[in-house]
Amino acid sequence: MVKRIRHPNKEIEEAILYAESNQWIFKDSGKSSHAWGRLFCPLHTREGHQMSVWSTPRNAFIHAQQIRRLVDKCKHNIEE
Amino acid sequence: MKVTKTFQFTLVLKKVHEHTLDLEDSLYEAGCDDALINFRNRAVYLDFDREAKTLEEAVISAIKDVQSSSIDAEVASVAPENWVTESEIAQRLTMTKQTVSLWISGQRRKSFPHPIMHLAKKSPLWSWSEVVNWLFENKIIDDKELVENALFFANINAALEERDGKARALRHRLLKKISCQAVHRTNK
Repeated sequence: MVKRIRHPNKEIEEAILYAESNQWIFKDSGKSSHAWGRLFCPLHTREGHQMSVWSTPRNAFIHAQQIRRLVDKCKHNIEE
Repeated sequence: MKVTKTFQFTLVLKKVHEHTLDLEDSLYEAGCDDALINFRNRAVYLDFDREAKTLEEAVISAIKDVQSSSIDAEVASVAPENWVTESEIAQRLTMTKQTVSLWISGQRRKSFPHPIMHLAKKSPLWSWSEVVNWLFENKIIDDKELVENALFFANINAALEERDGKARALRHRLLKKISCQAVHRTNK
């Protein structure tokens, strides 16, 4: 398996790792200049979550929180 | 001068989807770099953490940012929605379901608002702005801003719907009819 490139920001990298530890899968964005990539939740249907991770968000700390928040929200939904 | 605060809200977009070309880049360049773009059921959501003086300023500027982007995106609605179930009321207030249930049944405090939608279903819906207003009047919350913000969320979606000329014309025609009938009755 090809190893994912680490996000240059420490907080965001940790948030991506948190998503991955909850079975989310990271996919490279390809040629986008602002999106680092997308994270896909374990549910691979239409109802599944997907989110886009910025390379350089306005506030990296808040962006990391946004990522974690959606991971938590998604877990909650699966439990329901 | 009023200090800025961070406001959390979500914009639901239409006319775009997860495969729209340059979606991220155009939203980034339009100033949405403080939002988390996410997707579900083929729809695009922008979860904002926006700094502004007021909630209204935050939401309006975000809507304008989306509209100014180079992709043909439109804001369909703003969340959190005004319609809430009993358990959502408890969640939003971080109180127990039991407390909310006691208010609703009238066993604790009086005249909790009535639900106004989905009455025949298992979980009827309350208007969040009515609930917040009641909480304020009963001194359960003391922040007037919460009341104002709930009222804003309740009305911003109606305002977005009014942008459609046809819907607006129909609504205003119906509104006129409703008021007319009231006049006939009193004349009898």
